[in-house]
This record gives sequence, structure tokens and C-alpha cells, in this order.
Amino acid sequence: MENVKHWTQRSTADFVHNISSDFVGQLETRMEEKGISRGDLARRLNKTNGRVSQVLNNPGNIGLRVSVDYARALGMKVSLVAYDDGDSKNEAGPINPDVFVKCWERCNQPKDLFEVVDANSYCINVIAAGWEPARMQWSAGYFIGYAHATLDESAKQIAWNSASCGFKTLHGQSMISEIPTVPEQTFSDKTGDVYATQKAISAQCA
Amino acid sequence: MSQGALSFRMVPETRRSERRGIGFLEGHGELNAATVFDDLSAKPKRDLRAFMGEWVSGKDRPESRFHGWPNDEECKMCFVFKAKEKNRNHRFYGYLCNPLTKTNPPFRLCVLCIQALKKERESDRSELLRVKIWSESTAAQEAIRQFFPDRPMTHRETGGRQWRM
Repeated sequence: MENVKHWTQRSTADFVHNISSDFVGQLETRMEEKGISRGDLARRLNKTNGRVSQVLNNPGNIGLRVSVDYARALGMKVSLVAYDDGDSKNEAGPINPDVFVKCWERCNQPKDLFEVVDANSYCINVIAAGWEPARMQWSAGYFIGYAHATLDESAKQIAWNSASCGFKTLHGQSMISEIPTVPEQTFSDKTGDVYATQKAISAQCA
Repeated sequence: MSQGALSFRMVPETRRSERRGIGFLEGHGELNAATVFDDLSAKPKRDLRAFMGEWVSGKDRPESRFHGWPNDEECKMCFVFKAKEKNRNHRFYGYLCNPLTKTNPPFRLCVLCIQALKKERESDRSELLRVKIWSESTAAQEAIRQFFPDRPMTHRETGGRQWRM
């Protein structure tokens, strides 16, 4: 293949190796956070240390059953997720699974699609106001202020919807009391004005 | 050590991001990370690329794959990626820097310099100190500056957006 932009473009085996490695990375992170050694994991799985190391060191060969067994032994579950990131040629490689996990956690870990819809109402407001979704995650606190000031009549609803997105605390305080007051004229859906607004709120929250 | 003209290149075929990137510093016999990486067999090269992709995506763990030394005042900018190849434990040592302070300040670059085979449990401190010397060299800084000129993007390049991220 000419002009390969990401190494997983070459073969399905490469792609599988990447996503398997990412999955094992999640398991290893969990083990580090919980202080679980490979020996501990082997005992939980009733396997030898060697077998566990073999799986963790060679993620390209891990299968679904083994994936589930290892995750369950660490108190976790597994979902197999298909998604469309607009990169049909796979020039950027797979999305790391922790991106999905973090998004799910930020939405208060919805258990079904109905809870997802409830959590998303805040996000829809923000996007409608002209913000770039990628920017939204980076400085979510500032967007809450933006939404509060521009959509004053429904500010409380937005605040609570935001809370259900996982933005319950900002700078160690409750979200609602943290919403800053910003001059009305700084708000606009034009890029330049939005930038000025972000700076103004940033200064107040600092 | 003599530090004539050095060059920098990004690790090929790995994930790109507006917030993190990884590349090699080359042009001196001691700077062997790039050549060793290029010559790695398929399995450790796949592993390393996957680990690099994790870091570029924003992950800071697991430490079994990559980590820095943030609590070590002398070597707090040093960073390492690890890979196993049969009985050999590869370590690719480098340092972190922010080469786009004017145009994209959060962008963090991992500049890989030295590969070593690790036997002891603890990292060889001498490797970190060698990396530190490279990170402070004007030749390395110039090589990175050439790759990342850090000039403001034109209106055409940004597509009218004020934010690059």
C-alpha cells in the first residue's frame, strides 16, 4: 500500500494488534491503579503466571472469550463497539477505547439510550450556540457560563443537564455557584466574539 | 559530546494529534533511537506504535508501557517508551518539550533520543542524564525549531478559525 498514513492501514492483523493492545492497556492500567500484580490476576483466573504474561505481552492473539475473562477478573466489563469516525480509509488509526469510556463517564454512565438523551440536552444547546464540539470537552466549565448567560430563561435547566453530563464540580466548588457573570455584549455565535468570551470567563474562574 | 547539526522527524505512521506528538532526534552516534526503531522486528515495532498511539491519544498510563519522571527534579522532562522482544527489554528514552509556545502552547512533543536494552529493574540513571544533556543542547533545540517553526498560522491555514485545537 502506497502512502501509508497510519500503520494499521497495512493489514487487518495490524489493526487487530492495535485495538487488542489498547484493550490490554486498559487492563494494565486497572491493575496498576488497584495494585494487582500479574500473579494476583493469574490466581483469580486460575491460570499460571506464564500464561497471563503471555496474553498480556502478546495482545495480538487475545480473543473475545479471553478478553472477557480477564476483564471480569478485574471487576470490569467489555463492550465491542463499532463506530464511524469519518475516516473510512483509516488514515488516523483506531480511536483509543478510553475516549469512549471517558465520554460515557462524563455522561454519568448512562445505562441505556434514554439516559443518554437526557444527558445530551446540554451538549445540544452548546453546539447550537456555535461552539466546536472538540473545544467543549477541554473547557467545559466555561461553556456552562456561556450557556447560562445567553439562555438565561433556561439557565437552571441547562445547569442541571450539565450536571448530568458529569460536570458537577468546577474548581472544587459546586457548578451552579461557579457560573460567572459575563457582560452580555461579549456573547455571540461569531468565532471572534466567542473567543473573547472564553477569555473573559477564564479570567473570572482562575 | 560534539553536537553538530541534528535533525528531527516524527515517528512515521503513528497517530497525530493537536496535543501530543512523538519524534526522533537524529544526527549523532549516540542518538540511536530512530535507527533501532526502524530495525525492530514486527512484534515490538507494532507494540511500540500502539503504545505511542495511546500516549498521543492522551493516556498517561499504564506505566508498564511508558512513563516520565515528574517527581525527579533533575530529570522531570525525561520520558520512556518500553517494548519487549523475546528476552530483550527495549527502552526508548527521550524528553518532553512544548515546541509551539506561540501558536499551540499545549502541544507536547516527546523527542526520542536513546535506545537501550534494560536488564535491571530500575532505569539506568545515566541514560536519563544523557537525554537531559541532549534536551539542553542548542543543536537539538534548533532541529526541533526547524521542524516546528512556531509561526502564527495564516487565515487560509486555519480556515478562519481562531483556535487550532
